[in-house]
Amino acid sequence: MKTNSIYEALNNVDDKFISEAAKAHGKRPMALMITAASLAAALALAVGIRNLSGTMGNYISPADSPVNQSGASYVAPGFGESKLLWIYDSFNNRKGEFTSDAYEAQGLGKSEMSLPNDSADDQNGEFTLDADGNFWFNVYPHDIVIPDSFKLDETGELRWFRDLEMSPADLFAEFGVSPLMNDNFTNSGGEPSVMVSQSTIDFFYTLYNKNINKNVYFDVSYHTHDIGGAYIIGDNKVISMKDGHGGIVEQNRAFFAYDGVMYVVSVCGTLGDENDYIMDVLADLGVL
Amino acid sequence: MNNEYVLSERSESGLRELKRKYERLILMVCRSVLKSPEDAEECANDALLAVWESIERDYPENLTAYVCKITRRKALNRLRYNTAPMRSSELLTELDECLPSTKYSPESMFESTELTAALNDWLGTLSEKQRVLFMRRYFFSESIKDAARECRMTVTAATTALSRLRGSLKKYLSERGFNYEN
Repeated sequence: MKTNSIYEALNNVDDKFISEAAKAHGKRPMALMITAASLAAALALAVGIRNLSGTMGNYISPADSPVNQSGASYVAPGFGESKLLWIYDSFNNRKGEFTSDAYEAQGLGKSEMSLPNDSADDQNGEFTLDADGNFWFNVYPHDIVIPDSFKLDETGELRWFRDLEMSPADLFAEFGVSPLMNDNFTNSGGEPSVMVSQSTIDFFYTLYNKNINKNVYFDVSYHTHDIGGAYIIGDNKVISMKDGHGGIVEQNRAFFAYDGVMYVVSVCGTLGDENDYIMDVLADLGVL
Repeated sequence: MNNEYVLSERSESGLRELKRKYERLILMVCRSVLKSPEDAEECANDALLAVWESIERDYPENLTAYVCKITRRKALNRLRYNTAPMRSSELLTELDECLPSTKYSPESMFESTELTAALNDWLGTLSEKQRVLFMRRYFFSESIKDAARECRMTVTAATTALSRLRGSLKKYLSERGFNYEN
């Protein structure tokens, strides 16, 4: 049996690994460096893109994108007459973060993406358009970890117990939003899988206070296990319900339609920066 | 001035250049390992001097890695000196789940060729992102928060990733005969 100090052994690892990590020092989150110019280029791209029939497999590769690594863009499936533009941080080319294949592409391997008791297949998701033209992102159900701020009340309803003591339904009602639940998306106990994080609430309030009355779709996921529903302010459709882990982690994203183009801004940045960035993007686009 | 100059110029200007190029990195490593700013600064000076004194003998190909290794060793030695019992710090405890060592002797500390080779192999199986995260945390001893920021991850994601990496390393080492000793 061999025993050695792994701490000491680490000191002798290949120089290239040390240099690689040392070089990383000082890099800043590139997602926050997406400029108005790169955004404009991405938007121009979106206009000319064909409807991709509700699949997520034909987006433009990072290499072909007019936006560089600091803000690669992808054109995702068409949504009715709108287009969906996915702007994201491109960290490790996370173009297919919704699928297990993307994890493999990142070198994580399917097993890496699975939490205990999850199978890799559980984590697969897909974009679909329903018969009414609603856009969905479906993630197959599995257990959901409920953050401390959420509890099930005596009736089994999931409630927010931090700053706002209201159920998701109440919350949506306050914003004039009628969420449609995706039947595919309940936790193992059958509870509706709508959870909102503090950042989601803050985000909602910020926008609400700005009197947004456009078709603004939000799908905000902040913490790994938070579930960010997708909502439409000023309309009554839900375009997406999604999982908070297994691929859609550490990202905030906003879906919104503007001038006939549907956009998704998805940001992976340092904690606390994402919402500010999304707000900036929306402002740049004239939505705010 | 380049590394060649630093290595060849055994003069005050060579030392100055070495300091200019690596002081920030050296301080970062020291500060990550040692919580006391005074200790970190003192250790950084020691490390810089140690590099300078050994550079002529070793003439390293990769000066950055060389500086990092010497600095880390200095900082860990200082940490062990400062903390009793040995390895009581959170940082030095995390990797225990991969391969806890019950022996700490000069021999065991330096007779780690096989383990180092296994570590190198394992690191080679990782993606760059995973590798950098692991190294930032366990080589450079950065806090999870700082390592996460470097890798542009949330703390939650980094914590999860590190946990998986430790699990992966444990499995990898176990399969190669490195194991617990009771």
